[in-house]
Order: sequence, then C-alpha cells, then structure tokens
Amino acid sequence: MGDFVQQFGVNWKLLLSQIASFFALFFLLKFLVLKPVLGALKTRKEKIEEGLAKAKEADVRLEEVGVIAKNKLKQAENEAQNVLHEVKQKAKTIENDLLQKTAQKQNEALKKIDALYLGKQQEMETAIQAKAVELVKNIAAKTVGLSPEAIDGKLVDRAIDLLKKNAEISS
Amino acid sequence: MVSPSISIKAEEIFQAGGFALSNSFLLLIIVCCLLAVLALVFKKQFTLIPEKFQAIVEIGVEKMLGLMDSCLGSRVQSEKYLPFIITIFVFILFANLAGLFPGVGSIGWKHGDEFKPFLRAPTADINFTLALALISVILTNIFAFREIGFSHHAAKFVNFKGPIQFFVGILELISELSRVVSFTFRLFGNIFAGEVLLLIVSVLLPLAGPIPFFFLEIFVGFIQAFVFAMLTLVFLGLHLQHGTLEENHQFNKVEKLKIKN
Repeated sequence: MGDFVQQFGVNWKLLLSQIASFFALFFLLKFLVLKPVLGALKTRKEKIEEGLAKAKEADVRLEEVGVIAKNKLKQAENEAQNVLHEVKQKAKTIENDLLQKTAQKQNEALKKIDALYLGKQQEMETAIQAKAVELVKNIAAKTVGLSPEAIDGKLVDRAIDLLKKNAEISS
Repeated sequence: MVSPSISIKAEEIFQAGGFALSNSFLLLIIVCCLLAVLALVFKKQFTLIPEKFQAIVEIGVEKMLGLMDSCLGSRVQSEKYLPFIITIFVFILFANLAGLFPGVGSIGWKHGDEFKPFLRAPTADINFTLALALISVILTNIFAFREIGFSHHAAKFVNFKGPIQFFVGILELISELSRVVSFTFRLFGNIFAGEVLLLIVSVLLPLAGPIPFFFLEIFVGFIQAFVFAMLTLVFLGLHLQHGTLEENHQFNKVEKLKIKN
C-alpha cells in the first residue's frame, strides 16, 4: 500500500484540496448557473402550460360560439322564410283586393258608359224624331199644299214607323 | 536536449507551509478560476429570453435532466441531484480539455536529466480522480441515507437477518469499495494513457503527427466525463431505487396481512 501511495503520488493534503475545489465549484455552479437556469425553465414551462390551457379554453369557446352562430343562422333563416311567406300571402290578398276593386270600378265605369250611351241615344232619337216630323211636315206641305196642322196625324205616325224600321234594318 | 519523460505522479512545483503544490493542482486551480469567471458572466448576462451561450447551457441542462429522469424516475429527484451530476461532468470535462491546451505538459523546467512541466492535466493525477471517486461514492451513499433513511440503507451493507443476507451485505460493501477503485483508475488510466500517447506521437512525428490524436483526446475527454457522471447517476439511482423497492416490499407485506386479518 505504501509503495502504491509513493508510486502514484497520493497525497492526502492534495486529495482534500481537490475535494474542497470540487465543492467550491459545486456551490458556484449551483447558485450562479443551475438555479437561474432551472428557475427560467420552470417559468417557461409554466407559461407554456398556461398558454396551452388558454388555447384549449379558446378552442372550446370557439366551438361553442360556432354552435351558437349556427343556431342563430338557422333561426334567422326560419324567421326569414316565415317573413317571406307572410309577405307573399299579404301580397296575394292585396292583389286580390286590387283586382276586385278594379273589376268593380270597371263595371261601374261600363254601367256609366252604358247609361251615358243610352241617354245620348234617346236624345239623338228624339232629335231625329223631331227633325223627321218637321221634314215630313215640310214634304207634305210642299206636295199637297196643305197646312201641316191639317195633315192627318195617323199618316205622320205611319211614316215615322217606316223610318224606324228602315233604320233598324240598316243598323 | 532534454528527453521527454513520463511520470506517473504529478510533479511538485513548490512547497508552502508543508503543502506541496503540484503542477496538476495548479492547472486545476486555473480551471476552477476559469469556470468561476464563466459562471459569473453567465449569471450577469442571464435573461428569460436566452441568447446563444445561455441557450446552449439550457439545452445541455434539459438534456441532462431528461437523462436523469429516465434513471431516477422523477423530475423532482432529477432537479434535486442535477447540480451534483452536472458539477462532476463539467469539472472532469474541463480538467480533461485543459490538459490539451498548448503549453500544458510542454513548458517546464529541467531538473537534472528530467523535464518537469509547469502544468499537467488534473485528471492525469491520481489525487484528482481518487478525490472525485470518493466524492461520488460517499455522496451517493449520503443521499441514499437521507432519502430512504439510515436504517434502511445501512441494512443493505450490515444485515443480520440471515447468513445469506449477511454475505450479500458484505458483497455490497466490497462493491462500494471497488467502485472507488474502478472510478479512480478508469479516468486516470484513460487520460494518462492519452497524455503518453500524445507525447510519444509528438516525438515520433513532430508538428502534424499529434493533430488527429488531439481530436481523439478531446473525444475521450468528453466521453470519460460523461461516463463518470452517468455511472454516478446510475449508482445514485440504484441506491434510491433499492429504498423504494424495499418500501414497496414492506407495503405489500402489510397489505397482505391486512387482507388475511
């Protein structure tokens, strides 16, 4: 053992110095390097975990919002369809009303035109009658030379009837 | 011309108050100072958003934590013992690499026919490797005592429950002592052999000859530091796991008794 110690130069003082230098380095590395590094790694890990948790939460929220948006969209679609249906129905009723009113007004107008036409026709007939009577009177007066008052009223009436018949045939 | 000499022990530079300062310890002090400066710079420039150097350190720490997780089985344990493992790794790595710097082992003085260098790789001195081996073995046992209890861990070495257990305890004790020896001579042997190899190659093929071997020694230095740290971690894991296995065994026994009753 003594030979071994001498040959390899084992020296207990040097041995203790080496051990002391190891512990000096140990504390130096522990407090100056490893403690801050481990702290930073821990902080970073916590931040990453926090970020991941928040991202997960955001994903869940996004999904929820997506579902809500889908539901709302469906609701809006249904509402829009209902509104469209109602509007169509209203438009139809309004159309029908308008058509009815128009038809009514048309009928009234036709009736008025008819009345006006009949009135005018009667007026014209009476005017024509009067003119025909005058004409017949004049003709009779010229041909017979008699006063128109003396002409038999029956003759006049016959002539008028004949004229009427002629007029109906021609029309 | 001074012929290159190979000395298995570190050379003494001077004595001060009965303390013989060796060339390997001098380089170790320089390495420690360099690491202290680096640590101070790191602490000063430390930010939550890392820059290049800090990012490299953080990646290293995270990788080491991952390795420790797989060995110790829990992140809490890994973070607890990370400084111990990292210090071993960094200390050995820098000590190994320091031995490859120009001037180390080549600048010195003539002592008779022998050439004595001013600086020598700390890991090529058995005092350093022995110190680290003792630290590794003793501290892993202290951690085990603290974690699983004194009686639990001591029962691993001194067990009077039966002759087989007693014999196993003695074997465990021998294995702990053999760990010190294996740790010491593995590291010392590898680095010392590397130094000898570099010396011989530089004598046989000066200038360009040693360059490939320098790269090999950088690799060996890294691997040896990693192996030392990993073995320490594995032994620590075994000590702590032994405790949990024993606890589980006891727990199962109690549960079985409860079921029987």
